[in-house]
Amino acid sequence: MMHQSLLRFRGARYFWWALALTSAALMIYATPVGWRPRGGGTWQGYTLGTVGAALVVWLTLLGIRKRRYASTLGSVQGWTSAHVMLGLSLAVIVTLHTGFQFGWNVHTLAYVFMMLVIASGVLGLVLYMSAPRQLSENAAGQSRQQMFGELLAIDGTARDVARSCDPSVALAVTSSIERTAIGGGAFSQLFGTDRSFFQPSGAAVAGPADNKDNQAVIDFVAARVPRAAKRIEAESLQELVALLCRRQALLRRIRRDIRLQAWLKIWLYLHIPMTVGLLAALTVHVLATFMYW
Amino acid sequence: MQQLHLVIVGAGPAGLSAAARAAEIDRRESRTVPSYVLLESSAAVAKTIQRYQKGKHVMAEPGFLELRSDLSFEAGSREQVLGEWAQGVGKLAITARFSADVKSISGQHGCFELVLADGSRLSAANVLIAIGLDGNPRPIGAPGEDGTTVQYQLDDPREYRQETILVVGAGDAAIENALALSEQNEVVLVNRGKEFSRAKQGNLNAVVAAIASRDVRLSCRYETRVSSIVRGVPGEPLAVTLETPTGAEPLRCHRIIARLGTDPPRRFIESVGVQFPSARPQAIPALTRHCETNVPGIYIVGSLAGYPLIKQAMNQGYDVVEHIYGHDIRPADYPLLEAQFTGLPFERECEELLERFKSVVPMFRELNALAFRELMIESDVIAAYPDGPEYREAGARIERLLQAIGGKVRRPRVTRVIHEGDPLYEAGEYGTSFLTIVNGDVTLQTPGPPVVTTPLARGDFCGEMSLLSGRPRGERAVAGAGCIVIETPRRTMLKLMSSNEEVRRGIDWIFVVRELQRHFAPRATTRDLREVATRVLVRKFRAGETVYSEGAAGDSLFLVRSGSITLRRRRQSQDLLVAQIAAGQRFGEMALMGDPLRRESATATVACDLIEVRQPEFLALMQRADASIEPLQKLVSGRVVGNAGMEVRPEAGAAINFLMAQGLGEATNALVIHEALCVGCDSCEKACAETHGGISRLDRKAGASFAQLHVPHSCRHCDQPHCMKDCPPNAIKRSASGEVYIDETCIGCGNCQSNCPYHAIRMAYDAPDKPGLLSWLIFDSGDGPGEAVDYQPTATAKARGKKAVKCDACRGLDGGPACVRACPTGAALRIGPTELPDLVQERRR
Amino acid sequence: MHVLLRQLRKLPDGQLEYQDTELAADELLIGGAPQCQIQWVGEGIAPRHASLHYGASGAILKCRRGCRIRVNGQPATGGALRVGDELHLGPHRLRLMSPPSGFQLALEIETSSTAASLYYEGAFRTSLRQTWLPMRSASWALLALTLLLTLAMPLYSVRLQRAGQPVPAAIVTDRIWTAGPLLAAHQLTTAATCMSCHQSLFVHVEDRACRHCHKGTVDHVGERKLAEHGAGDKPRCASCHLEHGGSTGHLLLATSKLCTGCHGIPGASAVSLGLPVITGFAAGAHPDWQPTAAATGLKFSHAQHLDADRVRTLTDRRAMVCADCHQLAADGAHFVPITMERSCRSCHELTFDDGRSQRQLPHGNAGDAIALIQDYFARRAVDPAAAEQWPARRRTPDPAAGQRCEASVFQCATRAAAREILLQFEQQGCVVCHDVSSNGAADPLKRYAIRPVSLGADLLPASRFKHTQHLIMAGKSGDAACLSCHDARQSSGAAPSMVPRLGNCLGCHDTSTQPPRVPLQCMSCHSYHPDGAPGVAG
Repeated sequence: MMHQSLLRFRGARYFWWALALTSAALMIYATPVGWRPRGGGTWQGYTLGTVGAALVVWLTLLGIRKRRYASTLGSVQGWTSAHVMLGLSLAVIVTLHTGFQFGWNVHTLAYVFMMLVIASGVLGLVLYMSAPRQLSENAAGQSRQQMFGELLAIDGTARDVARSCDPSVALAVTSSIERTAIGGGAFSQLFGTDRSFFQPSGAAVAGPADNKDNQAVIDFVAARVPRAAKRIEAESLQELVALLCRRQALLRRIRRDIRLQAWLKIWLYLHIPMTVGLLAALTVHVLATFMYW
Repeated sequence: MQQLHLVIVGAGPAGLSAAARAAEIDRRESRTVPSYVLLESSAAVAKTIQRYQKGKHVMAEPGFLELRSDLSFEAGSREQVLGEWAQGVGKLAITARFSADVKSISGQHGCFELVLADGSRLSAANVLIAIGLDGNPRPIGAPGEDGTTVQYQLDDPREYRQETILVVGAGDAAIENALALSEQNEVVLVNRGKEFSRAKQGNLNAVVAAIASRDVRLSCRYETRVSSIVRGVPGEPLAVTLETPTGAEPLRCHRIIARLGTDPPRRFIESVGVQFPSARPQAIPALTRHCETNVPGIYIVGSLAGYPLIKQAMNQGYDVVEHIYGHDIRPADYPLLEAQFTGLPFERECEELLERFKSVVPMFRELNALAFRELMIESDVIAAYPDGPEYREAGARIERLLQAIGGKVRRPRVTRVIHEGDPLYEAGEYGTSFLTIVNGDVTLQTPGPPVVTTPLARGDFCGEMSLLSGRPRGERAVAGAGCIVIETPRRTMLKLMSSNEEVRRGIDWIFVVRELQRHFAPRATTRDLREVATRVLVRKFRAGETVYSEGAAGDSLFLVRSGSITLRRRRQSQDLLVAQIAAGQRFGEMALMGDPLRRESATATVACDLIEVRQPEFLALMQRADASIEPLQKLVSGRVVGNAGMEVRPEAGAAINFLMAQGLGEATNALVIHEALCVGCDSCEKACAETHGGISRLDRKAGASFAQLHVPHSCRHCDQPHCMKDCPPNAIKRSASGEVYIDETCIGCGNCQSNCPYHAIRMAYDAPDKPGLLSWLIFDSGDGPGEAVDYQPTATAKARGKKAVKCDACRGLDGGPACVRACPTGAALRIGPTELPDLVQERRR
Repeated sequence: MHVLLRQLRKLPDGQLEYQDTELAADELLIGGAPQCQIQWVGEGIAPRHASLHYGASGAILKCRRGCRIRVNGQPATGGALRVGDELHLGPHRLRLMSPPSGFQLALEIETSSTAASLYYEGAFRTSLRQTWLPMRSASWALLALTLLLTLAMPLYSVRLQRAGQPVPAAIVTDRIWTAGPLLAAHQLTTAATCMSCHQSLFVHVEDRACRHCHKGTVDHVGERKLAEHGAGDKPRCASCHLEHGGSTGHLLLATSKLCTGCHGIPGASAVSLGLPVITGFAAGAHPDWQPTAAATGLKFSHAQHLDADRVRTLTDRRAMVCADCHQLAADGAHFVPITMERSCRSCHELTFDDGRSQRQLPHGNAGDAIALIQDYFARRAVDPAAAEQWPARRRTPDPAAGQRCEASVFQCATRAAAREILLQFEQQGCVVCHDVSSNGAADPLKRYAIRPVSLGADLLPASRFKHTQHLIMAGKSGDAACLSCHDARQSSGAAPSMVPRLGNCLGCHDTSTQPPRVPLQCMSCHSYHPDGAPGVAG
């Protein structure tokens, strides 16, 4: 195969690097400490700390490198692969650096920030590994623009057909089209919540009825088919049902697309700010260490 | 009726310049009555340039050529250029008659008689025809038609909105206009015929779809013609009567656009008695070096004479008029030739050298002087010396010349002086030129095993393979003792071939010989193979056409000269792709190796040229001592295995099918995205934009997908680029490493855009600069990396006008294509046809 | 308001198709979103681009912020509309017709669908970028917050504290920089203000910070001495005492490394003072010790006393044990000094004149003893009767009885006394246990000097040794335990010979053996600060 995933990049080169780094850190940690207790204070502590800090800075540099498009300093995939692997090893290195001394102070704050960054990163990695495949299967070679185009077309025809049916059906269908919710707020995008409604006219209910997944309106129209007075009406009703079903399927795909795309992005909204927080905390951590020696 | 010395037909650049010269001569010889007249069929000068869209930038290529004319001309906006000329016409008091359409020319040298559309007659000693290639737009031919009611071109469709517009015609131009206008207007297309037979496939689909759609406000009247046009009070729509199969239909519309094509000038010219060397449309009439046709006294200049660029045309006009008035002067391009010849070992007159070179190359003997002159001017002259005084002396001569020329914007081409034994080109690099040996010898070395060297002598040529198949050079050419070579750019050569049978046949033939040699008889000389080569035949296939089908009996094998071939097998009622044959490979040899039945069916993936070798020729070749039968057998068995391998993996075949449909058959370097890895970050697009002046050359979202392979809209760097076909300034080039790119001489005509079947070319203004990366990262200033959505071009960029932009595979950048290097997940890859099998290997994550 | 919407559509054959809808709404939405009554999709058309509603002055157009609509060809953001006005938005068109009776508004709408499909997505929010989710601003906020809380505020608090001003409760103090909890006592005394120890930024904690409380504490080596031997700086308090370990923590790190850091490295300061190199507690790593060999000045054989055949206790006739004489002092390290009265007298009475006298000689002062003898004989001479009260139990013939004493009574007495003194001091009395030296002077008082006795002196003052921990040792207890280090059975002479040597201890405490048997740190025997405990002032 020619395409290589992040993890397998060049025979998982950076995985081995990270492994080497981690075991080196463990070895350093295993060396007998002097008379001091394990932790940042020992020479092991300082070594691991320096390595860790350097790593953090380098990892953040990915944000720059991946946008320095003319740069020939390795390929971005290489950087990303290394970013992932070394980033994971950072968790071990820094944990060793702490010597398991935690408390309510800036040092532990920095640690917590870092762990959050790594956690969000792992989430991102998982998504990057899984979402694209699902996306492409869901999209079936259609771009989202095309999906919306198709939706618009279906809506148009559905409206037209509905117009030829009796007013209640027309109202139901048009309202269902008008009150179809797609995407929306962050939560709705991420979890595909569907706050669609439609306007069933009839004794049963007054006011908009829930139309999650556009099922209700389909049932509503389908229920009218047997009660259709004229053949022509029955036909158009059936056409309508067919249209609405197509629409439903299409909407599902669109929502799924939006959802997956959202997930592909969401983790960054944690990762990036946390990283900035980490940088700040890290700076203070180092400063404090030397201010109060 | 007063007898004129000269009548100039056509007030384009060439005609104007000629008239200006004539006026000047009259003034100098203080004639009171002008000895000439300038006739122009349209209402103003330079019809073609008038047709350019508003504000279009007009270039003054080639930069190194001196302008020799009494009219001034320099690069600028359409308006500036036209303004200057109109002014010039006034200043020089050129006697011109506008809306004077010449219908016929008769008589012979000394007393020609010209009949004009309005019946008036003129008689002149000489006629200078400078009517260009466009010819006149065909009129609708309906009462009430005139310049005010009907327009024959459309500058900017967007400038009309909410109008009802009648578009007359069924050609590509008509369709394109109609579609563009229908976005904001109500459009009625008036088609004389039953369908759009003359339209390109793309346009055809588009217009049929548009007409069918109830949403697009475009309707069409078939088998309909405009029978009358009545103009009401200004501002009110025109009243038009259409003559439909069902009878007359009244229609009110705001404007009428006639796109009925033009009368090609050739018919008119031939009616005058001028002969063309070939029947092909691109053919150029045979001309002497003074642009005189076979009819003495009738001269042809400008694009009609094969000089498409404005400056050249103007110079020609000048020179020819000087000649007609009996002053023999050196043509304006003389210095160019001089520069190209300085480095040559012999001190001779350029004209003489031209003659000499022309005569030593059999293929060029039949060529008319002007065509050859143009070929020379557009070519490089390479001279090889042994290391020593002569070499240094030649170098010095060139130096002196360049000194003399001094501060030119762009320096003219000069002789390329090299050492004997230097390579002219290397095997494997993409050939962009055709080499003709006019002196000394050259040796070709095919990289082994076995290494075969073929000596070439004066009059021979090489590099034809890249010319015809677009494949990289198959051999290495080394300059021999005292060799002088004419290196002609691909485009010039193709133009020549299409206009001149001799040349085409000559090149075709040598190509066949070399292919046979390469495939079957490495040690054979041209002479040995001449006879066989004449017997094999070159066959052309359209895309999708079947070469042979499975099960049929066959007695021939095929060499793919250009294009690519798909081999399929039919299994359980479905076609399985078993192999993809690229240009330069061969197929069907099983038929000649004991298996007369075709085991698979072969269809042309893209338009193909194939060389068919039938049994007798094959045997003849195989009887030769040096016949390389083993490699042939090896290849065959390899093919059998390979085919079987592909056959058991139909999904891979399907994927390849898809990729072929996406044009990877003719691609040398195409972007393919693996959807299971692509996270849609658009880094590829951003990288492209950031490394190419803020304009992305690829559109990730666009383009087709199949089996998780996505082929976005971006350049495939085809082995025979469609975009190169028709580029006036020859601005689209192919680098030795294969990238097809557009250089800064682009004049923004947009031909390449419409010629590219893969939407890989856009016309765009230069993007404005944006704030630095960090200031975006930190302070969110500007809209970040990548192409800004509908960016506002600067005034200067607007003045420069839109230019064609396309992928150049980042040839300028070290590190390779930015799109691939910028992909964080490794989804984006650039691949050539040979990598397709790897690409469709089963993937693991 | 009641509105008549007339949807205009041109059919391919050029025919116009009308399609009227009536609706009652108080406002008409124009935009790309499906809920707009006039749904126009296209480039640059917002989901809710504009709204039409019917006011007193007729129809009023209002565009959303940043949106424009061309009214009769002029781009506008809103305003009152009149019948006949034409609105253009992208390719779409709308014209106000004169409303038929019963309608306030009649609109002729021409909706173009060219390229609409390309822009329909714009009618929805389909990307996180269109939501409230911040990225850059969040980053900024987090950055600012972190720096404020963990850097700016603490620094400010430091400033306040230096200026001696109170720190408002709202302010995060420099305590957030702490590396861990303090020792409870320090926590209490410093009130957890960092600067009571960390007095200046970027400088190690200095000793004066400690000495502020620990006034009396002395080092076992002073700057001066180190300086004059060019042996470098005196170690800081903090180089042995490490805070922020909590109360369980490591204020004093009981580890030999602290000492061997100086004493163990050839060329290190201590060694350069000419002290032996000490790297641990093992043969070769630690010098053997020289007990302060002060002779007790007593003639005493442990062997004899522990020999049951020769010595038994007076009362229950058993062999003697160490504890009969040696009692551990309160510190558990040393012993109560041995005294004649407590340990010996019960067996060893100081009778004289062959027991004729009832009295015993006083112990501890030779003069007194001599005086007492002389008195005794003098008295016997002058008052034999008084002297003649024999104890019934023994009757030995008077050695003098035989010979007559020709001289005067007094002289005889003096002679007898002299004889007795000689006997006691030189033959069988004091001399049994003590070294008595005689200078032969005539006056007995001036003649004898008795070697002073020193018992219970600390033989290894530089180290601490807890006997209590060793009373039960290596499975032995009682005398066995004692004798396993001090072989009294062999010792007939002076006590120092019985001080155990390095070897004895190594048997259990060798740090070089792997694994070390009973680990021993320098601190277990030695203390850095002379006379031990840090003297906390006040």
